[in-house]
Formats: sequence, C-alpha cells, structure tokens
Amino acid sequence: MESLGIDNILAGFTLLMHFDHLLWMALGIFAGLMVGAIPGFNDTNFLAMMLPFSVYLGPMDAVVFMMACFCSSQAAGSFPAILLNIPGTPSNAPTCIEGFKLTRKGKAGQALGASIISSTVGGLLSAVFALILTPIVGIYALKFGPAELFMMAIFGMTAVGSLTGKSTVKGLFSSALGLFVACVGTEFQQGYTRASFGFYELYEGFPLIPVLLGVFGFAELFSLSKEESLVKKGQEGALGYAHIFQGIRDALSHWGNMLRSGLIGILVGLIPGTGAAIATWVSYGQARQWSKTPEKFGQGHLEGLVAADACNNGVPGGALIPTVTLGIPGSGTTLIIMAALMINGVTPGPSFFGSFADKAYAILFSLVIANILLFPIGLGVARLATMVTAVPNRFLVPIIALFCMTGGFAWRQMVFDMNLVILFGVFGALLTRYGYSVPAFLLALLLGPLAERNFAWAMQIGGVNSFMRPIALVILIATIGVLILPVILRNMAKKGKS
Amino acid sequence: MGSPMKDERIGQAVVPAIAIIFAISYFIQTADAPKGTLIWPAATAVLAGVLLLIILVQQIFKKKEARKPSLPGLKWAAVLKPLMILTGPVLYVALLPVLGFTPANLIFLSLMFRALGGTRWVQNFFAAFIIALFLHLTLIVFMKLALPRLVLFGTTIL
Repeated sequence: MESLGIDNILAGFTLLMHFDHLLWMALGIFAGLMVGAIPGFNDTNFLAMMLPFSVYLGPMDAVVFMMACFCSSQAAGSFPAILLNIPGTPSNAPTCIEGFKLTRKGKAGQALGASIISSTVGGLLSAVFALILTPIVGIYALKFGPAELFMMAIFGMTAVGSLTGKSTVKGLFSSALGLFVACVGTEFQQGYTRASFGFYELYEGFPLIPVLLGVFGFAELFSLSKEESLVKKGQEGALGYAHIFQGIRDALSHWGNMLRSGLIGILVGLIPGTGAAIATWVSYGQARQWSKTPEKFGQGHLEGLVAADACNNGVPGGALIPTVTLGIPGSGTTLIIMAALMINGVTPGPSFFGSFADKAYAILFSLVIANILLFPIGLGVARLATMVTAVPNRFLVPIIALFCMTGGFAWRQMVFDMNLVILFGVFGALLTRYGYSVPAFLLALLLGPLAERNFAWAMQIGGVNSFMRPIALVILIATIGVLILPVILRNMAKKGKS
Repeated sequence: MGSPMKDERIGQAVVPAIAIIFAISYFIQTADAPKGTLIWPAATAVLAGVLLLIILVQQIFKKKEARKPSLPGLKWAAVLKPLMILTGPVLYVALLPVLGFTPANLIFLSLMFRALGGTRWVQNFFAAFIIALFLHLTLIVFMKLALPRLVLFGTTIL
C-alpha cells in the first residue's frame, strides 16, 4: 500500500505535465477521433500500426498517445453511428439503435450533444475510479473464472434477447440463432473446422466487423432509399450548437443512468476478455430495465443513447486496471498499450506500482486529462458532423453502401468480407422488418465463442459444481430475473391500463 | 403480387426458412465431424428450434385482426430501389478486382447517384470524384491497405 502515498500521486501528475506529453495526448485525441469515425478501422488496428514507433517515443509519450487515442476513438465511434447508422467501432452498435432514430427525427444535434457529454462523464468516472482504486481493486478481477465468464455471456444474451425483440420469444430466438451462426469456423479443442461452406475465409467463423456493418449500416439503406433525406421536412434546422447544448442538458437530466452505465463499463472492462462491445449491450439492457418508459427504447430514446455512450467510455478505465496491476490486458487495445510499455522496458504487473509508481500514476492521470480535453474537441467535431444530415438520400445511400463495404474490407483486407456485408445487410433488413432482434443476434454472434470456450473449460475444471460458485450463482439469478422481467412489466402495464 | 396479408404471411416465413436452410446445410457439412465437436452447435440448434416452434405456433394461432400487415402490399415501384441497392454493390464487388478500388468507386458512385434520382451527370460525377479521392488518399496513400488496384500493361495506374 506504500504505492498509494500522496508523494507518488503528485510525482505522477508532475511527470505528465510536460509539454511533449500533453502534445502527444492532443495528437492522440485527434487521431482517435479520426480512427473511431472510420467504420471497420478501430483503435486496436490503428494502435497496432503505431506500436513499432513507440520505441522512438519512449514509454510515457507512447502510452499517453495511446490512452488518448483509446478514449477519443470510443467517443468518435458514436458519430457515424448516430448520423449514418454505421457503428464506428463494435461497441457503438447500441448507439446506432437510438442515435440514428433521433437523427431521423431531426435531432442529430441533440443526439451528438448527449453522446459527447455521456462519453465525457463515463470516461471521467472511469478515469477517477481507476486512479483511486487501481492498486486495490485489480486483484478481485482474478475471481472471474470460466464459469463466471460463461454466466456473464449468457446473462448478456438473455438480457438483450428478452428486451429488444418485438416479442420476448423472437428476441430469444435471435440470440439462439446468433449463437448457432457463431458455431461456424474452427472448433477450439480439436481444431476441426465446422461448416466453413468451402470458404477458407470462414475458417475462423463469421468475422464480426463485416457482419456488424451489414446488419446495421447496409440493412438501413433499404428503408433510407424510400425517403428524400435523413431528416423529415421542416426539421432540417435542428443543427448547430444550440441543439448540441440542448442534448447535453437533456442527457445530464439522466445523470443516474449516466453514472450507472459508466460503472457498468468499468466493471465489465475490469473482467479480462470482455471489453466495450459486451459492456455497452449490458448497459443498454439495464437502462431499459430501469427506465420508466421502456416502450420508447428502439424508437430514438435518449436514455438508451446515454447508457451506451457513458458505458462505452467507462470501459477504458476498467480495462486499464487489470492491465497495469496484474499484467492481464482487459481488451485488444490495452494489450497493445501493455506491449508499448514492455518494449520500452516497463513491465506492468503486481509490482508495477512498486517499481514505477510515478509512471503508473501518470498513465492514470493521462486518462483523466484526455477525457477532459475530449469534451471541447468533441464539440467542435460534432458541430461539423451534423452537416451530414443536409445531404439528400440519393447521395447518402450509395456513399453509406461504399463505406460499409470498404469498412468490411479494412478489417481483414479481404474482398470476400465485402460480400459478407451485403449478405448480412439483406439478412439484417429481414430481421428488422419481421420483428426479430438484430442486437440480440449480433451479441450472441460476438459472445458465442466466449460462451462455448468457457463452458467447456468450466466443465473440465469442476463439472456442474463450477457453476455453483457464489459469483456465478448471482449472475444466474440475474439472468432468470431479466427473463421474467418482461412478463412482469407487461402485467403491470395491463393493470395500469385497466 | 398477392394480397397484402398474404405477402405479410409469406414474409413472416422468410427468417425461419433461412434459419432452417442454414441449419440443414450446417449439419450436412459437418457430417464427418469428430465426436464432441458438435455438442455445442447441436445444443444451440435445438434451443433455436424450440423457440422457432413457439414463434410458428404463435403465428398460426394469432387472431385474424392482429395479423393485419403494418405496411401496404408490395408494388414494383417500391421494390425497384431496394433491388438497385442490392445489385449495385454485388456488381461493384464482382468488378472490383478488375477495375481497381478507385476507378470502381468512381463508376459505382456515379451510376448509383443517377439510379437513385440524381439527374445531373456533372454533379453526380463531381460528388463521386470527391468521395473516391478521399478514400484513395485515406486508405491507399495514408493507411496503405492492400485494396485491389487498376493495373494496365503491367503498371499500377490507380
């Protein structure tokens, strides 16, 4: 606990306050805003490309740049999600659901304002949480074994499945179908390739990014083509700073939701192997459960948007905790940040706060300052971004189609993935048209391999008893709760009406 | 085109039909799978099957009034634009390796703008040029992605 001394904290802050560190932080924010806004090209890809250059930068400049890029890309991924229904990063998928509907209602400015303030609050909360509790909390993340991770995956799928379909059964079916589709590709224990349909490109299963761009971005084109513009006539004027600030005020009125979602982001980010893509769905589902107006979710409800974005930026702080305290990266991006530290001779792990206390606190402070800087820079970018709603759909539809296909390609650099974007675009349009749940399908596809792997490991380690551990049992009870909740809510609504 | 209600009923069967076809082809493909590798897929398929059965039963026993379609019946004019949105990208992906990324973008965007209602060719081409240039500079020049390029007489042109 020696590392918690005020001297170390002040030394970390002083170390960070050098001009070159702050310059690299500002550059990281700009780079993250650009990278996050390009679909299919996320912060992990970009930082992986930057990794070799970190040797020349030194550990502090490299990590400060990467942390700033990590935070701002999470926030910037919401811009194309809100304006074009294209998730900039996989974790922005829930933002699409509410944000794009708000844009269609002529509330793009409000949606972007709400997104920026939610991202900033979620990010700041997670940064402060990480700063205060990192040396203490990190060790508890180790309590999550395969059984708990399996239960967590099932909880996420059940929550989203039972709450986002036109009916509970259709939502759960979408989850089950996603789980089944996730079974395509090489099986992890024996290495047998299950149903790749003759395509070597499917040996690792359906790639997430092209599927995501298909079911969200491409699928939306069919309905967009029927209208003249994104925004209905008479609502075109809903741009400008006044509307962005209105969105900020509206979002702040949901402060409880914002704080809860930020905390969910931190907690899920803490668990290695999960990440923001899972956290935002859990948070979105929770926001709907706690909401007084759950029926408005999916129709452009600010509460859903606030929940997704606050949680999204809550993840970096949470993911950083096991990375620096245990040497276990919580996500792909933190893995690269850890690698940047290691190739500069700084090894994260249990002794990190003892050996490199000033550097450790400087990294944590960089998260706080990056989130503060994100707000004004994000506002400027959002003001420019709202102009996209003035573009007629006859121009926007082909451009979105092209961006979706290019984004699909950028992930693995395979033309085959462009075909997947189109295929899943049509499938996504059908799912939406007939009341199935696209989010549930997508989340199950994402969590399927994680669930299968951890289920097998849990069974091998302790059989059924593995699932009787306290944390696993609590998650199981929560899962049953979310399954029963829609029925209770429906009955309450019926009683209320009568 | 049939009546709107009939169209809707046929439409409701599309997703279950796709799921069933996918499941059948999946298990045909994995007929030679080693023991134990199909436990998880079989479990998820059974779960999906049970839920699908419930959906189908719900559809059959739904009250007639409730089964009224929310959208009017399909008309060819309404089908035309979605069809173009589908065929345009399919042709784009097919011709991409031949034309190269930037020329394919230029042609795809110009033609799609026109097909979706952009009547001025110059405006369409100018907008397409700006987007194609932006993508060329960002993805090929800056990010150096291995996108297909136009090769003429052994020389990479674009």
